[in-house]
Amino acid sequence: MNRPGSIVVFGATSGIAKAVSRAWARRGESLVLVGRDEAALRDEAADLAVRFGKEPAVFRWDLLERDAHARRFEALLALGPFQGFFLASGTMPPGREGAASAELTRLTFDLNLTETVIVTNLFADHFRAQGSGFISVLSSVAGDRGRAGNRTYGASKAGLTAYLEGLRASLHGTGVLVQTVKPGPTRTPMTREYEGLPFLLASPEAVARAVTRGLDKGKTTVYAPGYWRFVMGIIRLLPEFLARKVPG
Amino acid sequence: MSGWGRTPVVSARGVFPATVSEGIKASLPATAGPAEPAEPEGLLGRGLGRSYGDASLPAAGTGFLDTRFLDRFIAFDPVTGILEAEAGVSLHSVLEVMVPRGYFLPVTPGTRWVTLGGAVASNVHGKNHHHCGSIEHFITALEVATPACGVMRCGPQENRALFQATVGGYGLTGLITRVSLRLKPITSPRIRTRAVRAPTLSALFEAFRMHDAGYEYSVAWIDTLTQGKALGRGVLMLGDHASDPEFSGEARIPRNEKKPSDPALFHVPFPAPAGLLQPWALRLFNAAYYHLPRPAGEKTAAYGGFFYPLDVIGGWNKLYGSRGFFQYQCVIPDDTGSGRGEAGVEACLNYLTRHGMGSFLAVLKRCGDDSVLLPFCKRGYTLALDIPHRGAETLRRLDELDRIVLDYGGRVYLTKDARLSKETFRAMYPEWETWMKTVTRFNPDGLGRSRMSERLGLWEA
Repeated sequence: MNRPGSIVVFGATSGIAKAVSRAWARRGESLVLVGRDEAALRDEAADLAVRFGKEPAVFRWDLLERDAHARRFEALLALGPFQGFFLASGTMPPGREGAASAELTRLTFDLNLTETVIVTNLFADHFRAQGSGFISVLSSVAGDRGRAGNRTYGASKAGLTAYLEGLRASLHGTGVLVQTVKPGPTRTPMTREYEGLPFLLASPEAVARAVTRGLDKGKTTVYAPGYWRFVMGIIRLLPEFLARKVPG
Repeated sequence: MSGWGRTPVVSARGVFPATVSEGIKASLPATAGPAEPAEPEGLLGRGLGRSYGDASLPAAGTGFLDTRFLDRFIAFDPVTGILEAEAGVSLHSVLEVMVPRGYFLPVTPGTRWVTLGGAVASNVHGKNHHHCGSIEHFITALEVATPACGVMRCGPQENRALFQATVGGYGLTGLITRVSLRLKPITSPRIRTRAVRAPTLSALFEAFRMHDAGYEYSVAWIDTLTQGKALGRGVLMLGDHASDPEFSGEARIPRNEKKPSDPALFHVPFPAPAGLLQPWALRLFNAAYYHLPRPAGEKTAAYGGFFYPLDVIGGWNKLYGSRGFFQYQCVIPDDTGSGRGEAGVEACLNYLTRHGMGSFLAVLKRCGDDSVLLPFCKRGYTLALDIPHRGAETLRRLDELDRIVLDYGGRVYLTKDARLSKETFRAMYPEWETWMKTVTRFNPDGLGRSRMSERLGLWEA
């Protein structure tokens, strides 16, 4: 990387985005932190400014303000040019049951899939016209296989993974890299319930490393940490009657 | 969960806020709206869990608030050297960011895996205590979410009572959310060090008296496994910040994408089998360490090796096996210079050798006086010992050690403690009632109690 232009970090207050932003800022990249809570974004920006001596721009954009996306994107262009777009916003319904209420089910699909796809398309068109850029979006290992424990979340991420694969095909040959990031359970505020199995939790920094290195090498699908590629490779091959016995 | 000593072990529910405002909402039931479930018992703030005993463990039936995600720097003023940051920022991060710019921690404990909030709650001290005291003197401001008065700022001038009860206050006044710390300018990241070998305990005390004034940092390692004349032989390690005219702080910010530095060379994967640290192995190690060839003069070393030698073994606490261990740190005052402090240290070491309780790591330091409401350090000596937990026998021995310490007017450091009795605590810390009266002004219902606070009967004040 280290191409000209800033990197847009969408959902910049999430645990993984925080680590990814720090990894990029450490390299001297210019960032635009995007999220719905402007005060929280300013706190992240101040942190990066103290740590690395360069203050990123902040930009308020709420994924749930459905009708505003095109307008917000137009306004964001003033902070360009951009070399990349990283999206880490998302939600996991609470509880290990996965049978979320209708309201939470809708919210999960809206945030993790519908609105994410709409926003990602805006950047895809922009980078296609520009003839360069990268799009890196957080999906999840949970999208690789349906599981009782988090079927709603997993379904939204499976949809996102399929969408990104399609987007990659559509941008093939345009100079735009589309990267699907599939972290395993990561130690962030979102996964506090996993605390009982700390050895399974990756650090956000490990995920950040996988993202930045994956982009350096032009990798299209990144498991984070890398061993999840192996684990999911096996789990994906299991017949369903065995797959449902895998704990978690 | 447990403290760093891996005993006692409790199970408790944790809350992991992503931001300071989420943390304040979770820890103050009064501010919780109908949407968020209130925590009627409050939550005990917890950092990296490096306190050894139960200071960071919530009391039975209550929960804790983990500050690991409250890890943002807020501002740094290069003119005053004052750094403001959220309470979950670790000393490791402070060093990583500030050393390349020419600033160091004014006071640092023996590990960098401590949060700023934890450092404040324990009023940590370092190898320079005899020169500049505990971290209390360098905290310029704190923000505390108190149950009775809401979010308050305090400092050496502003809301002084809250400040004095919170620094060294073990998190009982409320959740510490933000900390301002005055850093120390340095002109080199390296330390000029010197090691002085002392064949007897009295030679070691003599070495302290001779060299202490000439160096900012001093600490002695003691071999506790020798008897008779060689009792308490040890090595005094001295250090000062090196100066390097070439070193310019600015523009030393690393731009490479190195793996965020983990100083550990390896991590202990699981608790060692019981009996790994056999007396003969300890004796061998101690003898080797004592006789290690050391240059007579000064040399320079990286600051990590000087201040944080144990950080190179990740999870070294597991070496003491699944039962865990106690760290016993006491201070023996010696305000008159009458030699009483030295006699007290000798009495403790005598007791240990007599009962075959040699400690793998025994550390001796000089200290001055703390001035917070619940002070640990007194002008004199402080001795820290790692003692493996071998059941009721160990507990009984430590109770007897308490009595020796008490006889010499000493006290035990609560950050390391897991077993002090209520009565002994009260005898060691006569200030406790005054301190707790201030604590209960800000936390009248005793929300967010620690296991330690109940063990020591603090809420009876």
